[in-house]
This record gives sequence, C-alpha cells and structure tokens, in this order.
Amino acid sequence: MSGPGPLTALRVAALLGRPRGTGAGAVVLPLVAFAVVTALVLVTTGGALALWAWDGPDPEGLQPVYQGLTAVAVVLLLVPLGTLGGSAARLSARRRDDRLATLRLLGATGSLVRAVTVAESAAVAGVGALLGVLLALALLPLAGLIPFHGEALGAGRLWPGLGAVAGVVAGVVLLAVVSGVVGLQRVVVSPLGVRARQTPPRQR
Amino acid sequence: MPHPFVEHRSGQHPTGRHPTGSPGPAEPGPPRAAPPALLGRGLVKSYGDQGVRALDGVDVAVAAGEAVAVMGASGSGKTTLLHCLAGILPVDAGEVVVQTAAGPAHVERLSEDERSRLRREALGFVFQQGMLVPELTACENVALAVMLTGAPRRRAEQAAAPWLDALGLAGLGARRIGELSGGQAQRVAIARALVTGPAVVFADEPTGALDSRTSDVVLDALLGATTGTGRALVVVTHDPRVAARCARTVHLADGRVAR
Repeated sequence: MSGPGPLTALRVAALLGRPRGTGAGAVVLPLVAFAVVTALVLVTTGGALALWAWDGPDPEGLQPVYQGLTAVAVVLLLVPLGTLGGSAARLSARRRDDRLATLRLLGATGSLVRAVTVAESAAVAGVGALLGVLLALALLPLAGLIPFHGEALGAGRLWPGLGAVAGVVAGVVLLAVVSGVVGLQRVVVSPLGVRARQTPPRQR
Repeated sequence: MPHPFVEHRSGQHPTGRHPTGSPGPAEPGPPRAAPPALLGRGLVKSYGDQGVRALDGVDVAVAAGEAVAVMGASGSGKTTLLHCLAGILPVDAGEVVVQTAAGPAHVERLSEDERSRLRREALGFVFQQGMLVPELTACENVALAVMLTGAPRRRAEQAAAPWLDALGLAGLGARRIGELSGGQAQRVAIARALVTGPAVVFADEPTGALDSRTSDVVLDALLGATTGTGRALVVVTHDPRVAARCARTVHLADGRVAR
C-alpha cells in the first residue's frame, strides 16, 4: 500500500469537496461569490483598459482626466472585490475546519491537511472563476452600451484579452488558496480544540 | 519510505485485518508473557504559563485483549491521559510504548509526522458523538480512515463494507450520518476505528450521548470488536456501568492514579 501523498490529498479532497445534501451550500455559495468577483473584476479591468487605450475622438482633450479617474475607480472597486473574494474563501472555513480536524485526529499529517485544503480551495475557486468568465462574457455587451465621447464603447473594446483573463483567474485561485491555508494552523496543532469548539490551554 | 514501526504483508486484507476472518500473522494477541499492548510510564503533562499539571507521573499498562476504563472527576486528567497515550498530545516527561506488528513504538520519541502515522495505522479512536463527517455516508466515513493510509477510494470502501456488516449496519452504508440514529452513528465510528486494524483502540466517552439501552448495544459492539479480537481498549468514561464492563478501572484524581 502506497503511503499518503499528493494523490491521497486529491482523493480525500474529491471525497470531502463534493457538494451534496445539507453541505452543498458551503460549496455553492463560495462558487457563486468567486464567479461574481471574477466577472466584476474582468468587466472593470476591461473598461479601464478600453479607456486607457481609447484612440477615438477626444474633442475636449479630457482623455488624461478620464484615465486618472479610471485608475481611481479600478482601485476603489478591486479592494472591496478582493475582500469579497477573501470572504468567499472563508465562507466554508468552519465546516472545513471540522472535517480537517477529524482527519488530523485519524492520523493525517499537517502537510496532508494543507494539501487537501489547497486542492479543495483551488478547485472551488477555479470552477467559480471560470463561471465568472462566462458571466463576464454575458455582461460585456451590456457594459458596451455605455456611451463615451458620444458613441457606445462596444463589447469588443471592453474585452480585456486572454492574458488579462488568465491573470484574473489565477489571481482568484491564488487568493482562495492563500485564504484557505491561512488559519489552518489551529487545525493542524490543536484538532481537538477545533472539534470541541474550545481554545485549548497553552502547552508548555 | 521505510515504515518506522509497522510492517505490511502481501496478500493481506487491504487494511491488514478482516472483521470476520481469522486473525492473520500481524493480529494482536501475543502469548501471556508478551509485553503490554500499551504502556505509559511516569507520564507528565502540564498546561499554561503556570505549568498546571494535568498528568503528574501516571503509570498505566493495557494488555492485548484487555479493556481498561479510565475514570475521574472533570479536570482529573483522564482525557489528557488518553490524548497523550494516543500521541495526539506530546508528553512533557515519561514514556509511552505501543506494541505494533513491527515491534514497540516509543511514542514520545516519534516526530509529529511519525505520531500521525502511528495513529492512522496502529491506533483507533472512538470519540464522543463520533466526530464523523456528516456530509459523507456511513461507508465513506469508514473508508476515509483507510484512504488516509494511501488506499484508493474503491478499495477503501471495499474494506469498510464488511466492518459495517459486522457491526450490524448492513444495508446502511449509503446513508448519511444525519440519517442514522445516535447508536448507529456511534457504531459507524467504531467501524472507522477498527477498519485499519489497530492494536489499540481509544474511546473517549463513547456512550456519553446515548440512552442506556443504546449504550449497551454500542458497548457490546465496541468490546466485541476490540477485546473480542485481541485488541487493547482504553475507555475514558464517567459512567460506572461502562467501567463495570471493562476488566480494570484506573481512577485519576488531580493528574495521579488514585487507586
């Protein structure tokens, strides 16, 4: 029998992460949140890039002002969206911690618990982000109706490009994995405390 | 990676044991002169900045096929003793020796990863209220313990099924934990504790949340599946009726063996 390794982590994550029954909400809600975050980031980024790359008429000469305002808008939107993404990653933390603490008590190593978390977080965030890309594609025609210098921006101008899409998807997955792994220490060190809903006394 | 304390033999049941088969060569149950299946000597464990001693020089030995109850008031150190014996908590002083198929494992000398490996391959746990994963079925909960040893899911479920049958849960493997009664869920926890073929099983208030009739059923199942197959059993309990079913009782008071 082979010892536990990455394959074991994937198998366990697949078993634990499958949405079903009463626990389905713990997977579906973060999935929706990641999809919404990804879609909004893509539309926002696409809009910003479109205004920065605007090569149409600029009769008032306000293009630099628009570019500055766009940069501010992107920052103002990305910060709360990042927070929302982090919250989505932590949404199922309580349920996840219970299951992982059980695994620890049954003999899972700390590294296996972390690997299960990474696999589970990346899978949920990855699927959510891909759904978000589809959602963004559905939203772009609507956003493209926004007039700029007297004409509609157009969906084509708002498409941020494959590189930006890949970067946003990777960023969302990374955010989910980091948020998932941070806070695991208590599960690894004190699984009994997690399961018993206690803060255990400090060991000497 | 060479195993520090457990050897596997080819041709065995996937978990090394089978609930209904005859004990294999690795089955616990050594001759009378054999060392205890579990030995704790001079165990000391302190918590907090003040160094409050939860365990203060506890000695305990459990033979293969023997059930020992650990009783004491809340805060007497009984749960800490169980966790130290099981390698969940490291001891500050003293030694813990578990007899495994490959020889004695000195728990206090093992690294964290080695203690984890000891837990998943040589020790079994039945916790109060099971600590089962509610989203998984009974069979998946039992299989999870086997999967942690590296087995694929299908093989793990094949190993789990006969244990569920042996514990009177035939036909209930596909039910989620929430669809089972308290006694049935606790028997799933017993199956999970035994499916990897442990030499020693620890139970922390295994009947604490059950009515007396269900407690008897669960206790019968626990004793039959552990001492009945040559395994050592350590039960932490408040219930004198549970202790009465064990061969011996260790009473703890203020972190010491009272009598």
